[in-house]
Amino acid sequence: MSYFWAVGRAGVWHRDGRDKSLNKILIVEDEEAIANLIRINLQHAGYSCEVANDGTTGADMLEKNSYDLCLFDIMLPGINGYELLEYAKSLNMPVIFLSAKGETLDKVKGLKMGADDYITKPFEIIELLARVENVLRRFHKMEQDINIGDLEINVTARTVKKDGRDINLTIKEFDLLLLFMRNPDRALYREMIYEQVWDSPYMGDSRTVDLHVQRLRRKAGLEQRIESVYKVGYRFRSSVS
Amino acid sequence: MKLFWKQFTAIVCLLVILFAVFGCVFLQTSFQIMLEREKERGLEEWKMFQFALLASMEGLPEGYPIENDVMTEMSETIEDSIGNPENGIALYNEERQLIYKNGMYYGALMAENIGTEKAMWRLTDTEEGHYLEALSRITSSSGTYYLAFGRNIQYVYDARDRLYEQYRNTVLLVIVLSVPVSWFMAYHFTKPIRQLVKATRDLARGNYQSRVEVKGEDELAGLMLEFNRMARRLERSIWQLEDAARRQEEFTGSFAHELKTPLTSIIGYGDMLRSMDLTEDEKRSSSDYIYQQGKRLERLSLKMMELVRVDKQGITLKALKTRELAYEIERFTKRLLWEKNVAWEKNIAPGIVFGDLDLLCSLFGNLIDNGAKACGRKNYGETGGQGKILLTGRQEKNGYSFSVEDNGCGIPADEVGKITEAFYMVDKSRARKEGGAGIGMTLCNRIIKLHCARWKIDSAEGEGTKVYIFFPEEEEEDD
Repeated sequence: MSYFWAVGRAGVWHRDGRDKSLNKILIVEDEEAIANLIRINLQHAGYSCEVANDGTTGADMLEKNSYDLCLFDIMLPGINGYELLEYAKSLNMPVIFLSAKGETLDKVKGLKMGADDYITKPFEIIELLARVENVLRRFHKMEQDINIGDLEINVTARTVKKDGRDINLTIKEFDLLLLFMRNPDRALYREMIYEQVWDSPYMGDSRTVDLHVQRLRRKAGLEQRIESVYKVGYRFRSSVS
Repeated sequence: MKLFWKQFTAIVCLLVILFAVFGCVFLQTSFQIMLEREKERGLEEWKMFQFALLASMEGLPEGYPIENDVMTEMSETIEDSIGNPENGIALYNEERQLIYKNGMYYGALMAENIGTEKAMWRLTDTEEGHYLEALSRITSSSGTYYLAFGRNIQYVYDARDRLYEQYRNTVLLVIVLSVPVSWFMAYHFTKPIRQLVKATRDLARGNYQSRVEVKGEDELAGLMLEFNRMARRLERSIWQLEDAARRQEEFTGSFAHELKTPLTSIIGYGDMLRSMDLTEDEKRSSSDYIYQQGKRLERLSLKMMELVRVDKQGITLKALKTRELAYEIERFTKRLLWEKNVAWEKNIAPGIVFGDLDLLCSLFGNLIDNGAKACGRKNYGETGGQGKILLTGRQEKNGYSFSVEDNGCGIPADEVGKITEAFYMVDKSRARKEGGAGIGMTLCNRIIKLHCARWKIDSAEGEGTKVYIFFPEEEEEDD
């Protein structure tokens, strides 16, 4: 099989002509600023997005088009997020709630009603991207295999092959690789990397991150793709010049 | 011991003791009376016999030898005429020989040798029964005789015993009957107490609707009335507390939401700016979003500060001349009205309201700001109409009333009730653009409450809104 990389603003990796932009995402959010923020970042990550600013428009769009994933705010003018969720579920579309209601009870309610994930505002963009990808993968709307150059990664089996040979990565190294791939051409701050991969608050110890990044670079031969950003952290380049 | 059992036992004991004591006294008294009467009658008959005997002896001719047989004969005659077969009579001569006897018993006094006393009587209790016996010495010219008398009075005692027995049975019956009666009475009397206990327990368990049914007008009914009053007050207080807690929770929730929404944008766009290579246009729009949302946070915090100030600061109400107040309000809002191109008119009757000038300016400022926004939202069309705000002040019978009237877009009927809720906005996206934080009316509500004033909002969609504020002359006690 031959793979090729499309290099561009969207930073999307293609495979057999198929890319993430085939995943259509509906965003229903009444705050224009937040709706735009999500749209820009999802588009940057290669998804195709449509935005509705109130529940009624959102329901209309759900009716007319088919989406691979829906992102709903809960408190919406017109029809609220919970009602939209029921509607989307009846159409078999996965749903992620995006809400400022951060109480555990609210989360439990949302998840119990059938939401596939629940993100509380304010959120980190990389977290949003990770969760979006997780849900899409769960619904088999995204390839299980990702290929970067000579690397072949199976996300569910958590295996990495280089030129057909297995590479042994530790759990953290694999998570780190996934994080980099999800966020191409984005400067990732050490604290963000730490918080996402180690899932605990960053205490200012950068050596852990540096150590793992170096090992990952060496093992997977990503010395050129993962570049250091001075005083910030690392950036994963979608294209190698 | 439960009050019920105390009361029950008390009633039973009281009944028994009363019956017993009363019965004993009554029976004893009636027995004494009967005995006395019997004694009198007996002694009367004895005296009659004695008198008759003396009279017969006197009646004999002078010197007529009185022999024993004569006495016997006279006795028999007297016995035949006035004798009573219940009595026993015996006559002895000077030598104490029995010369006449009639009846079964005539006493033992003679045998006991009574000496010189002329007459004596006593009640005796022998094996055969109770007797009244008497003895008298009859002295006449013809010699001395002794007349013994006996009368069986056993029936008096028998009657007493029979009565006692009957009475005892009655008392037993009374006891048996009194048990259910006093049980019922005790039950009836303690019923309100049991109801109170149950209601109190209910109340303690958190059922604040718990009440007792009041019957009658006695002390317990009074207690029950007071209990109900207490429960009612408690329920109201609890309801108020719960309501306040609920409002507080809603406020906190809404506040968190209002805080998190701009923060999401600020953090998100900030992160984009620092970690992605953006085009100049993208950089500018991201920075603009950050700026706008930052401004929004600033407005929110300013309003919150104002709200906190109103809440925390004790205010002193000063007498304010309404015309001066209106002038201050005008000065305060002039710029705003000019910016929004809204006409302004005021019609203030002289009068005095008690209040804090700054807070009242803030109150009217908010209302006028809302009015101006409402005017801005209305399309006056070809008619060339213009937004207009009218501030009126009128002296009322027991206070002073202001009204702020606009001819703007109005509020939909079903939303009027909600507009004083914190962070409630009729048209959210529009309100945001106009710089609203959604707590203006909440602030107004607080200020009005602080001034012990009342307000009313009249609005017709598309026609305009009129807000009345009434300041009562004297502070009204709020029960």
